[in-house]
Amino acid sequence: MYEHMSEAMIGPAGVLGDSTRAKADDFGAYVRASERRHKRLAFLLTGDLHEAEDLLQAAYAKVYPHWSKVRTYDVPDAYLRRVMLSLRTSWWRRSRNREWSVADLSENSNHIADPAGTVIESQALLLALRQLPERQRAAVVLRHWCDLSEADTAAAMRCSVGTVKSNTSKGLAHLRAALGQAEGGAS
Amino acid sequence: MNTQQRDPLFESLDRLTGMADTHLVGDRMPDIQRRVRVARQRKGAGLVAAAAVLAVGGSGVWQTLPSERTAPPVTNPGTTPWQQITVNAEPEGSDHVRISFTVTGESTAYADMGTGDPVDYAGPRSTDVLVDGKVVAGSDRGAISCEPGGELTPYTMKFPVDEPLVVPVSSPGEHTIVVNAPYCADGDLVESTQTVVVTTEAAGFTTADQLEADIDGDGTDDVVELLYPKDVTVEDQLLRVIWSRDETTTATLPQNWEGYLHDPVDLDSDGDLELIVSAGGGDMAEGWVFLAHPDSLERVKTVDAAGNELSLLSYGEPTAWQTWLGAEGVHSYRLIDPTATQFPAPVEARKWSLAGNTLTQSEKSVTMCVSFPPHGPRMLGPC
Repeated sequence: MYEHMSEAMIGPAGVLGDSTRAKADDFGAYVRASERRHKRLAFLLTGDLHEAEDLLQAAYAKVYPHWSKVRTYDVPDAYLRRVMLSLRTSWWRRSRNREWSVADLSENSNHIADPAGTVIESQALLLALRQLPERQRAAVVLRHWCDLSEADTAAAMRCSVGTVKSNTSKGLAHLRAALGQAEGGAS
Repeated sequence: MNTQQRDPLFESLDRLTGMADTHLVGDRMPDIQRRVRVARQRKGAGLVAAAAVLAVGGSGVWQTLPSERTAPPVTNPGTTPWQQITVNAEPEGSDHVRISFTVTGESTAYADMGTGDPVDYAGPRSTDVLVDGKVVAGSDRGAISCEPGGELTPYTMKFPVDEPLVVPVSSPGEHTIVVNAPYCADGDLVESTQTVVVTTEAAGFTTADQLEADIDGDGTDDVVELLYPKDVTVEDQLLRVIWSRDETTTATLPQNWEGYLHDPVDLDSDGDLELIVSAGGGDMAEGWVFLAHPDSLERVKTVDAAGNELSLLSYGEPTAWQTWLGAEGVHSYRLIDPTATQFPAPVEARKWSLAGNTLTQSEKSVTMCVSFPPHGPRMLGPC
């Protein structure tokens, strides 16, 4: 009964919660429409499928209480991106000494067909991404996958444009070197 | 996507993200709602009877404000002269600051300015401590100068050496502490400085309760604190928001009972979270709602349907009205059958609605049910 009552307070029927239900429906539609691209971003930011899933859900849960305001923004996705980066930074600070595991790489990559060495390349890229410092990884992903401008990337990362430039430059150099090695190894 | 589409790295990243698509999940909303609910229920729901409120008062923790900072090394340890200053500064009461710092590094040699002879010393040439621009302490190694070349000598020096450095400050508020400790690097005196800001509170306060939430919806959590005065003769308690942009907004609470913070709730669906504080004394508890503006915390007026002032109260006896604060908002309720012993039991409930800066209780009552889970807060919901 406790679970039932507790659940009911979030999505109640009758006189209570009409606005809450409408908000939930609207936010649910946003989640369904955006989850794929945000899951991809979360994966690039974390380098891990499970962490990506947790990061995405945590970010959605952060945004949900503010949805009536966020939905009016020109780009609600920008707000969610910022929340994801903020959460990711916060989590990373708490576990900065933890080492990356690469044990799941081959298992995950089995899902991808590999007619032209893309698995090897993706493995190398994922490894290289994981080796990047958090801010370099975020800068590269936001600039070169999300296609954000330097100014927008700086706003999302809460840093200066100069910091974005230097982090992107260093991150790119590392990734390109890793990709070059992968191509060399595959050929 | 233009230029990035021609970037091989973009193509590679995009292929890589395909791995994320292989990990399918179902409907995300139940888990999202659960996470929101768990966050909100962390502090418990319900403005409960006074005894329970008093039980959660908890022990005070001395106010700890951002006060420690370590400067990055000037150069690389082991190869060239470098130095790092770590400053710790804490408020001591309302009108003093306690300061200590450590200087670590490797300097080149010093020489006696008069004779030119080598001096058996490694460390900063001098140290100065400034509070709000005034030098309050310092040390000087006398007439020594930097000797070009020479071996690197490591050092770690802690200050103050003898007695604690406790410095009076003129008024409560932010105070800037600067430590200057120039050191020798191959014949040159290199400036090395570290700065911290410490905040002293009027009368001195203890943090009684604290939570983190994104109050203004900027994507980053803000800190909400409930502060008790350390001086028992001072009655005002403070509600404070430390915004993620490092600004602070404070309000005085209209009571001096021991209180606690409820998880903020968006009562008017405007996207900003409202702050809720409750406190109890004797057999009564009361709650207050605050609007968190960027530059002020505004206490919400609470009125009945006719516009008469009506507090958010809970009384200890079973026939009385109770106030329930939860994710769904604020409700007042009372048992329809005051002798009920089986729960969930039906109650007469009236919802409070926030518009502007006024929280208004509905005129009409609806029937809901209250339950008392054995290991959780009381729950109010549909029967």
